Amino acid sequence: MDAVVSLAGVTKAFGRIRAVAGVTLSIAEGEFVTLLGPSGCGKTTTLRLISGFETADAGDIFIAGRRVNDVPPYRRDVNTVFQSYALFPHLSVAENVGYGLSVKGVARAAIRGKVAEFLARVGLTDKAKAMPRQLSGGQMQRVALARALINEPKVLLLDEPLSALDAKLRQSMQIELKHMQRNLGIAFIYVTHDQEEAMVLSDRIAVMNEGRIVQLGTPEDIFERPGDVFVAAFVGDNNFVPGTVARIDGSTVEIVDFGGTVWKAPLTRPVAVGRPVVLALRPQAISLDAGSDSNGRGHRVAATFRETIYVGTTVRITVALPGGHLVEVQGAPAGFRIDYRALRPGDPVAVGYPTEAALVFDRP
Amino acid sequence: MRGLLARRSLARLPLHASVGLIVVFMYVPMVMLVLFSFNGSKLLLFPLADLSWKWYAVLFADHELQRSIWNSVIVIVAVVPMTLAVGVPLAFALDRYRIPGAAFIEQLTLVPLIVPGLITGLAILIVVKRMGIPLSLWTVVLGHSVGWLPVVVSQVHARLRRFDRRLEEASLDLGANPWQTFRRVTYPSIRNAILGSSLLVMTLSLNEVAITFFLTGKDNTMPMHIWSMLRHGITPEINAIASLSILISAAAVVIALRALRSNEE
Ligand SMILES: Nc1ncnc2c1ncn2[C@@H]1O[C@H](COP(=O)(O)OP(=O)(O)OP(=O)(O)O)[C@@H](O)[C@H]1O
Ligand SMILES: [Mg+2]
Repeated sequence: MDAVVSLAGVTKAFGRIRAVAGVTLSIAEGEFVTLLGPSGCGKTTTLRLISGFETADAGDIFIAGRRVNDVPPYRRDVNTVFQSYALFPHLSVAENVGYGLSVKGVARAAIRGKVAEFLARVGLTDKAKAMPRQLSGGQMQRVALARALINEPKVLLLDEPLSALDAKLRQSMQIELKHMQRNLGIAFIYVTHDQEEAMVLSDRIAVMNEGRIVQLGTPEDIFERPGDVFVAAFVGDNNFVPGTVARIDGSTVEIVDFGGTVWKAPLTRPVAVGRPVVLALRPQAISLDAGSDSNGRGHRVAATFRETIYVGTTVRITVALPGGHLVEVQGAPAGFRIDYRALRPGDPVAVGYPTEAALVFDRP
Repeated sequence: MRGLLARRSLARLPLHASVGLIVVFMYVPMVMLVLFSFNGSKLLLFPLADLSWKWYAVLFADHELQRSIWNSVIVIVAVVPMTLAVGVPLAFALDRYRIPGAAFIEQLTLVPLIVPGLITGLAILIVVKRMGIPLSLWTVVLGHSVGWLPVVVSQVHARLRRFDRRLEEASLDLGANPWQTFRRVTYPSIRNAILGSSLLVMTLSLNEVAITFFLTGKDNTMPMHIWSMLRHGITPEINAIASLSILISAAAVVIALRALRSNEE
């Protein structure tokens, strides 16, 4: 498959701020790629470099094989769905959607047909004559989407398109977006700082930090095999236990934390004894036993109970390690092998986990 | 509830009274003037003894007056495009470019609005004389354009400041070139500011005496002519022409304010 968009070592600075610091990324035809990262990491700037509203200081940008560094936005075969929607307030919904075709000089009758088709796609046929200010947030979002998609761009850029919507609407729009993207076969480059949204939507996720892509991979790659502590912390919840490599035993590494607790993890990368590391363990991977129970599964370490937070579908339990370090355990209320309601602060418990669930990173 | 409401409206009485007084002081003289323009007799007596259109007939037979009205029209037709041609690009420049001291430049463009017309007229007269340019309607046009440029700049700039520039990006993104973007997105949102300030410039120019006084040659504009007619006393003819000019100005101002208000939304 050919790349519809590719960036090679693209850099963009604003004064002394390096907003994008050497991004290399290639997006295949029909692919859904998400740029995920914290606020200010350069996601929007990356999109604006592709759409042509910013010019790169260094590096090359290609759209459908053509270098577009010096091509103005209106001659680039990409369209954008803006976070603020940016609907033209003086034009009706139908005129907004038909705008791109109209400026290209497409015949009126043809525009009318296409507009009707795309309004139907987003379920807004009855709003054709409405003005943007008469629409709800979700409806404006759909108009913005139809207005961009009607031009059948090679790539659609979406900058946090759902961030202004409430949680329910957001979920249904996510599914709709995904279906539309599949049906039209247009590549999407999607920006969000919501990791769950990124997981739901993407074929591949590019996790960004401080202007760089720190990891690029499928949602499974990113979630199950995070490349560093930053990704492990940003994508999903994680417990981090700093310690030192104490022993290497075949395919297992033993780590001693600052409180003297011994942890086990699979040996996935070469590490040396004495190396300062961080052990990462997802709260969902941990089970909890009474301290006296010796039938626990996997590797077990001793801890004391701190508190329980009940959040309906899950229960979050905080326990303290002998060194004082806190670890969070998460599970379905019925899934605990221990009666967590009976626990009192200070009660001894055992934290157990399958060794394969632990990850080891260099301490940053 | 009722008692409360009644007390409230009672409390507002002084406010209503003062508003009423202001209206009376502002509009009674104008209403009188208009009424007397229909006065058939030469005596300024009230109530009018004899209603008549005859002063309007006299007006339309007065060739000198007609000429002055025509001159005023020429001035307006030149001043409005002049102020737009300079004012609109200036407003854009102030809004779009990081000009060092932009705020200062903007305040500078507002100066003619604050300085009395007498001073503006005199200042331009000095320059024009220096350059050896003969006084004519064109020097009047120059004076009015300088005087009313701030109206256009301030109105259009105020609108541009509230204009969401992301709309322009959306337009470019959808394939419209910069000119199409201006015509289809930017212009429609400053159109009312342009219309409103044009009408204001028009009425201001139509009624201006001070600047014109210094800068006109032998051609008189309408208000100048009325001024000269006053030497023969306040004739019903003057009331008639004044009534007409009130009518035109009021209509223009009402439309202008409407345009500028919708501009604020
Ligand atoms: N036009 C600009 N002028 C100066 N600095 C800018 C400009 N645009 C972006 N920046 C800076 O560049 C950095 C990256 O900004 P960018 O908008 O790309 O971040 P982002 O990842 O989209 O963040 P967010 O999630 O908050 O939208 C930030 O530090 C920002 O302040
Ligand atoms: Mg952003």
